[in-house]
Amino acid sequence: MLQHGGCRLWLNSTLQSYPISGLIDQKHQSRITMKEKNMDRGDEILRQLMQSAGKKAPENLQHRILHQIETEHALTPKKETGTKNSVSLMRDLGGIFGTMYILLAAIVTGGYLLLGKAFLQSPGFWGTVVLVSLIFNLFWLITRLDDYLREKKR
Amino acid sequence: MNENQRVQQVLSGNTSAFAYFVETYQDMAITIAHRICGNMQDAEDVVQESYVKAYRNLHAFRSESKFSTWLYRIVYNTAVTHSRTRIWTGNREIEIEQASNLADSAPDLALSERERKEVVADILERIPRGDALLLTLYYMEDHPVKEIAQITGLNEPNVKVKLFRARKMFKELLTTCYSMEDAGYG
Repeated sequence: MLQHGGCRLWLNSTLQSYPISGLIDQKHQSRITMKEKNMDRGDEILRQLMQSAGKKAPENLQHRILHQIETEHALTPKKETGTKNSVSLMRDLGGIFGTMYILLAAIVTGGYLLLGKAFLQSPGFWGTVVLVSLIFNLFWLITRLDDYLREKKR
Repeated sequence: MNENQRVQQVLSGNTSAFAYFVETYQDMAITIAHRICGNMQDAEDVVQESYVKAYRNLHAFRSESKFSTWLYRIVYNTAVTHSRTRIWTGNREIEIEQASNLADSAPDLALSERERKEVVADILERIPRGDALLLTLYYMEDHPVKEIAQITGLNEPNVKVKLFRARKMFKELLTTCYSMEDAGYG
């Protein structure tokens, strides 16, 4: 085993020191280089051939594409709906509940002036206040529902 | 101004900034679409559709890859969907057999530029569409294998193998049909 290993070592060292091994290496190397050169040359010719095979887009294509994009852009709804919705909500809220508070204030003032302080403590007064509030709240609820359904439909 | 800035311009509502991308990449886009669809009419429709898709999804474009790679990927997908054909398979043996028959009648030629274009176009029509596409991307635009993999959705080793086969097939057809050794190839 040791002898066999030693033999191989000797063979390797001899091949390395012997001039023919260099010759073999050179030949092998030059063959590889030539092969690579051929491949590069082939690649280069293929590149030249392929570059002549490209297609040119017709002149009107750019116009067609840009026209369609402009149209798409014009038809796209603007992203202002969020702001619009909140503005509409505040206006509804202010309108409906503003009217309600004005009406309640008128009832309180009218009742106080015509029927005195006792009216403000009577169950009839509180019943009226609750009824007015309920009606306006219901009205506001209907408005919101209507808005929601319209938005959903859109 | 670089491409990312132009993308930002388009995203902020300046649609005319998109003209740059159309002008710059439309020729290659139509070449890719033509390789897959096989005719110019469909290729034009595919390119138009692809640009509109790109515009709609521009917000999804991440600058991790080049804009061209991203766009060509859209063109590739749209063309494949549009043509509804299997682009990676083809009757290669038949084509080469036909080419061999053709070789009997084809004389050795010192080809002019126009003829050379016709020869290349003819060979690209004979080989499977996917292979023609790979050769186009690799040799015409000098795309690296990694980008070709991104465009076609194949993995890199697969692209290399297919590219090797495509090159070999192209060379075979070229030498068989047109005796291009004389013209410097082979």
